[in-house]
Amino acid sequence: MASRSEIRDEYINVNAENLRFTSDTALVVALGRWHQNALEEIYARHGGSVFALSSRIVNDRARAEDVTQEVFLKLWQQPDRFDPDRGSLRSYLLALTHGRSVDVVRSESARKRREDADTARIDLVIDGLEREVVDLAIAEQVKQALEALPQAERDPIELAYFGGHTYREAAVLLNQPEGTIKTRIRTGLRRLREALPHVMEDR
Amino acid sequence: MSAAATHGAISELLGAYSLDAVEPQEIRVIEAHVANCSLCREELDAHRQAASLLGSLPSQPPEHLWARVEQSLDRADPPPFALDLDQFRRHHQPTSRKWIGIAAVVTGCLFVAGLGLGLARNAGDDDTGSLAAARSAVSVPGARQLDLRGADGQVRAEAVLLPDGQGYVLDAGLPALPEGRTYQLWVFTTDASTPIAGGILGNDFEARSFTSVGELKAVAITEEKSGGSASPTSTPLAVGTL
Repeated sequence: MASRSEIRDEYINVNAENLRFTSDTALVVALGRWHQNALEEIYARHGGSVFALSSRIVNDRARAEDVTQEVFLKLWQQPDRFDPDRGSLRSYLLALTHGRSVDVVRSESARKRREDADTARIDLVIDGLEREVVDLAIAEQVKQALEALPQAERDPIELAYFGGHTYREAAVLLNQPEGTIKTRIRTGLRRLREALPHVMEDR
Repeated sequence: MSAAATHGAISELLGAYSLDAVEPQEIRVIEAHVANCSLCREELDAHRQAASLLGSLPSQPPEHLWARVEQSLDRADPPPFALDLDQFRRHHQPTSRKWIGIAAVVTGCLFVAGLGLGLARNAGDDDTGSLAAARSAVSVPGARQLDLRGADGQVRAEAVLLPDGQGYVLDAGLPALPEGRTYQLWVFTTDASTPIAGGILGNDFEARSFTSVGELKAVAITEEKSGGSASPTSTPLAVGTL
């Protein structure tokens, strides 16, 4: 990870021409100097993933657009919330996206739609993940790591992450004790991380 | 879960928490623990990085969506102004989420009011005087020139800064504003994390002088109501950094 002084030095050279070659963290610093075009560059890099993840979770294009707008507005207004020492900008944006999307799914107005779609979604999350990551440069590695996870760990992770279910709901859906599901999510994420050390560094 | 939940019980929940999959009543207990437990914080960060891989779904957002985001920015408060990551950290407190910290501006920049008023008077100066002074300032040894650019990267104004803190700002494409509105200059120094009112420029200026105390790092122009504001109320139209 670049030091703060290196990032600062990099910022000095930020302008409209070289934004594309600027690191994510330096772009966030540029937000703090009101460079709206830095936000546009961040959007160009990560807007697609933010929108795709939200679409996947809320299962509604218009609502996914709302979430995407909220996520980038939040980054613009509170860039100081991003801490580069605690992970990448992409990870931060996707965590924001996920939290907001789950809120939408869990809201009272969305509950019925969610219940209607539950059966289909379970099938989707179990079977559809590989299909959606194939275009990524790292897709093959992520896919292999996911496939390598024991099914018992993979199912609750997918139900929680893409389905917006709590671990307790996942326990009911999978007919397992809550404690077992908690542990499987934790060990599954750890196993995924260990299988992708170089990808983790880059993301 | 009780407030006195053990480290072990909470760490068991970190995976589910990183996926936003815990119950609402558990969130507060987990967050309180994580704030004071570096082990759990490290584990949580690692889980979130792993979760973000799951979220790496390839897609192009709808074409109109950026325009929609951009429109929402125009209606929103601007971000806290910070020159580097350390200043971001100082902003990272609930009370200063908005950079328009009135108390900070009032207590930290008392001289600013005088400066702003002084420059308000300067705004009555004829442009010709400031323009001539700015032109001659360029050739002063140690003078620095600075472009103030809009969000699109276009130069909207220029500034000349002299070693003694005297400065001049020149219009380079800012449109005339309607009656009741004015351009206002803001200066940023290494000592202050909030912008300092640098003077009221009027609604159709050509050149104005200003004074900077401390090591100047950036200059910005916003549109404000006639008479100016104690702190910026809109996203800057032009920013120049040193």
